[in-house]
Amino acid sequence: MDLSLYSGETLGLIGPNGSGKTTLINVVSGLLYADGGSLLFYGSRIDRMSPHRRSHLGINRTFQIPHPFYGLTVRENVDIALLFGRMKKRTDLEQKSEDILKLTGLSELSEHRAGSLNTSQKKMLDLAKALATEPRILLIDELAAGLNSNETEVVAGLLREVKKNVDAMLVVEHVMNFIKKVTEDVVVFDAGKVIFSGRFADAVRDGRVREVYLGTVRSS
Amino acid sequence: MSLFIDAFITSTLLAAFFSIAALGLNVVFGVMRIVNLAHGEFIVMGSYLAIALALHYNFNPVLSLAVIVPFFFVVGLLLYFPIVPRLQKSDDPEMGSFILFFGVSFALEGIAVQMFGVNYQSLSYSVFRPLHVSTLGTTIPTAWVVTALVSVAAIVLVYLYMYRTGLGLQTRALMINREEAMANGVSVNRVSAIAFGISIALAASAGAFSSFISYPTTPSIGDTFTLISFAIIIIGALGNPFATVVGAIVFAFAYGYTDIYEPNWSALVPFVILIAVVLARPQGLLGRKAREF
Repeated sequence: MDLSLYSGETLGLIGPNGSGKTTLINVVSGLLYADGGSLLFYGSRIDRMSPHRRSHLGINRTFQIPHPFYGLTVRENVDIALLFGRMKKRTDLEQKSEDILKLTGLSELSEHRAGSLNTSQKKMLDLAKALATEPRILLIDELAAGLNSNETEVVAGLLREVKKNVDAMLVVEHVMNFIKKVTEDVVVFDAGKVIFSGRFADAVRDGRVREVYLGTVRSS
Repeated sequence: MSLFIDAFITSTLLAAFFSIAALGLNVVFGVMRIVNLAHGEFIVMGSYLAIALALHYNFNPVLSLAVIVPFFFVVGLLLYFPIVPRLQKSDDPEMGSFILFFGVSFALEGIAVQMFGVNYQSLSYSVFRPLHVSTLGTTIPTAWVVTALVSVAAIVLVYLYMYRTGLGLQTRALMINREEAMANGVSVNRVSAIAFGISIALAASAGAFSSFISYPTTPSIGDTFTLISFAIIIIGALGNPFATVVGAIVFAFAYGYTDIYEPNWSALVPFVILIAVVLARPQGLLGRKAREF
């Protein structure tokens, strides 16, 4: 496959289960190494770079099922990402973590242990940690899955806000409604291949996309 | 009654020693998910170095720590890089580590035989004056008290490292969730290498005192130390360094009391307790289903 993400772009990535969306995020963020091919970040190859160094460069991601550091408080979780995510000396740690907690709606929970959060709060914390590493590219893995429609609305608004602070964003999602709210540009995956690339509105009319999602469509 | 108090004091001192002996093994397991089966051999190596320093330079074992800690910390770093990252890339690092460090332990035992012979060696109690201290109506060797104090100091230092430094915070993050820690920019190799160095330095420091309070030093006693350390961290909780202290207390009291009342059973009872813990609480006394630190 061949996929480019441009500065200023927010790209939605959709496709059925098992099509390789999360695998792609894992390869870009460094948890998996690709068997072949090349991965370029602003022109330099990063295929074999370890995940923490990619984080230092400015690539970060959220997890489909977030696993924050359970025994630490919400604030400590964010502080770890702030301190080590970009390996910068920080003098404004407190202000930064306050801002991020506020943005993600976690201010009131800052002294709670991460293990005591509910699913949507854990997802917000995961996003907060990713943001704390000040990514240039942010990869979002199914943030809306398992959230109710109100929460989805809030999260979509949040991502539009986040967009202003990052160079580019790749949003993997199952919930079509959510993608629509965040971006118009989508790529559709099936079995590890790009089968469509273009506007969301065109994707839903595309024959192959419909086939992949709904099964074979017989022409009438 | 005095027997009871005797056993209590001995067990308390022994618990402190067992804590420092086993702590490093649990740090390595917690951070790297591997078992260093050569752990006891590093206790033995530390012991030989302390004995040599006492013999040639008249160092008492507390002073010899100034050499032992940095030396074995570096040994740990040097061992880490060629071994551990490779292990971690394998399909089953835990099982791989058993086999690999089993081999390392034989190699170290062989080296010890070549260098120091097979005879028993011990540091003399007389390195500390007065020879004995009396408390609560019992008399105990000063060397035991010093051993316990050094052990407590070492545990406090490790605690401060883990809970008061940036590297310690990264270490805890890595112990809780490896992938998440990497995604948050924690440098796995740097943090792990330091943890491995600390582990080996702790083991060797315990060795500086082991010939006073536990067994005289021979190349083959390393296996016994590994076994005891492993039992202690399983009783406490695998992967939680400070649960080691709880495991050590249980083990030491089981050993200490049996040793005074029924000496023939003293090698057996602590391990019966180990089996009971494994059956009743496989995650260890302080273990949780989800690890929290």
